[in-house]
Amino acid sequence: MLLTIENLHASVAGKPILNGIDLQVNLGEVHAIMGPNGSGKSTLSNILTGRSGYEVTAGSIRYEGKDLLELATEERAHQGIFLAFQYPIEIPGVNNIYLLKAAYNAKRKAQGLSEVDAYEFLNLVKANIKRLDMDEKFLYRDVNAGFSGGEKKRNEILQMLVLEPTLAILDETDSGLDIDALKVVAEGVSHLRSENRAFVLITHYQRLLDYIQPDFVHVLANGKIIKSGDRSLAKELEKTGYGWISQVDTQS
Amino acid sequence: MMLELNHLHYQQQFAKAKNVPRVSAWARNAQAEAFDRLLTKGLPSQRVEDWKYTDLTLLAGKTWLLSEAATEFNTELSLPAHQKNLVFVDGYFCEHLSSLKSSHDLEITSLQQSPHVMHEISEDIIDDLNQAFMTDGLLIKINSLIEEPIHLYHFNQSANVMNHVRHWIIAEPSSQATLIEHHVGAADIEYFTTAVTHLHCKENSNITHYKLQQESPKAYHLSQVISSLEANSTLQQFKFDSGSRLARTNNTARLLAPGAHCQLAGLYITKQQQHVDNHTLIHHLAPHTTSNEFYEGILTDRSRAVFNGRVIVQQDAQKISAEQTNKNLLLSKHAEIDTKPQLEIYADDVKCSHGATVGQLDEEALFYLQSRGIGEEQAKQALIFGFAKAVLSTITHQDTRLMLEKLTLPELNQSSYLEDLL
Repeated sequence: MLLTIENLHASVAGKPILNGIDLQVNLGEVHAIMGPNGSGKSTLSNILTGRSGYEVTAGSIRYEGKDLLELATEERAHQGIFLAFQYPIEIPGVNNIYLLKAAYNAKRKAQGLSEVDAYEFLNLVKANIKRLDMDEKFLYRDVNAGFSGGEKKRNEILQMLVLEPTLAILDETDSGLDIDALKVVAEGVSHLRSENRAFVLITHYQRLLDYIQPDFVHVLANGKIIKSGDRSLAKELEKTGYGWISQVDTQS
Repeated sequence: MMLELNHLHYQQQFAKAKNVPRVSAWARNAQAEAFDRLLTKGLPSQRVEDWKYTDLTLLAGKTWLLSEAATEFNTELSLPAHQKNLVFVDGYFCEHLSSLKSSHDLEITSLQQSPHVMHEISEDIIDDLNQAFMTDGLLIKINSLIEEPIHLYHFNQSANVMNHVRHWIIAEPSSQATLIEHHVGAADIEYFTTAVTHLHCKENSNITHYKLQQESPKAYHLSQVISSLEANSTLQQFKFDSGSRLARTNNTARLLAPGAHCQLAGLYITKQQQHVDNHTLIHHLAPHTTSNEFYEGILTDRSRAVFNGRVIVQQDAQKISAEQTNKNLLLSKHAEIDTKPQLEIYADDVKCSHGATVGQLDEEALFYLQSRGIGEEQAKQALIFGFAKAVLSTITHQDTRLMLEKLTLPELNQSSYLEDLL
């Protein structure tokens, strides 16, 4: 098992947000976590990557058999966890190629591999830039600074392609994207989809799932997974919306 | 309101200063008057508004000896081989070390031989100190377009001395040049230096002036820059401070005629007990003049910095544009920045803006980099350097920008991984 979340409870500033999440992700699988605003989707992705300000009050997360919560954010990255941010951060003065190379080499170093040189690395990046239909000039621009919403999301996918994570979490990557950009993102994911890798797609809408077909769909509400199924569940959600959730919730 | 100087000691030093040759009786007289003012006024205490945040008590209490021309040179004196240098050691011009020679396009003479340019009497205490004890200086006349940067390299190697250099730079009409005024000290010695630079930019001239202050961490550095800009002239200036125990610069740009434009930029990086004070004054004396000013500071440990940006727009000086920005990164809770814009506008058709920020590292950006696998220390350094880059990127000349980025990096960290950021 790649990722096992058991009975995860978490709060932000003393306020409970997650109320007992159970989730298992195997290599080769694509999971979609859907749910209305405020259901705890982003909290889950933030906890998986170790963002500060989130307190785990009960439960556990195991990743490749290790206690994930014991690892620093950068160590999680070295071990193959990648989060595509819902709102990618602008970093003036630090350019894209620096970020990519520093991240790539940090991971290699942690794995006991030698760092790649600038030339070798550039070739690797250029192949991926092409795949995403991005201009090479993006490499020399400051990270996300002045990028449009769509460019920022593409940039996240570029980082994902270069870093080749074992577990990629895409947090609302589809929001604010037009159809063309959405297709490019989906192609990026398809390219990486393999038996040695897993994806968790966090999304409000099922639109993204037309392009990336998940193996499992989970519905998150009030900090709990209240329903799981195959991709037909996403279709059902599209028809019914999230209105039925409160009903289910009170029944359970 | 003043810090009294030890009269007997300074009189002894003044007797030595008078042995430094002066060409004219007028210059002698100006020197004596400056000395009288100095002894009468003393150095300003913190009760003088302009010196509120900068304490000269330690400096005033020390018995500095007037430096003498060096006969031997410290091994730390390393001159970049490919550059055209004018080299000063302990405040004295060393012609034999200097690779730049006077020419028709670029006339270089000793300031002591050029009494006519000393007619500027200033109210400034730094100027008085400098005039009274002036050790050496150059008059540089730029007559045409000079491609290669002119490096004025000041190296200080003797402990417990004071030296006082003074330069007068005249850019003739339609001339163009880049000056790099560099102040460097041997490691771990205590000394006191003043540096006064006058820049006279005549019509249509285009001057770039870099002033790099990298004195020894125990040094005291007081300097003054006075620039006068005539019609359609442009001055671009970059001030870099990373050295000195205490450094203060009074930097004045006077826009005298329509079309004059100045850009003042600067970066100060302070650590430990350092204190760096930049007082700038941009004086719009004529209509249709423009200025912009951008200073950034990075402060760590218990260091302290002061930025005071004064802009005066004279009455009837219409159609003025003046922008000012000062941004500071405080990396320690014990560091302190005192930043103050000071706008005095006496005309009505004027576009002026100013803004100052004081902040810490962006936690979100830090998390973002860490989430990509970049360690905390490296991520922080990347963000700090990214902050510095905002002001460094105002340097349009690529080689010089790279030179300054290379000066900045080791001030922030010894690690080599930052080199990728260039």
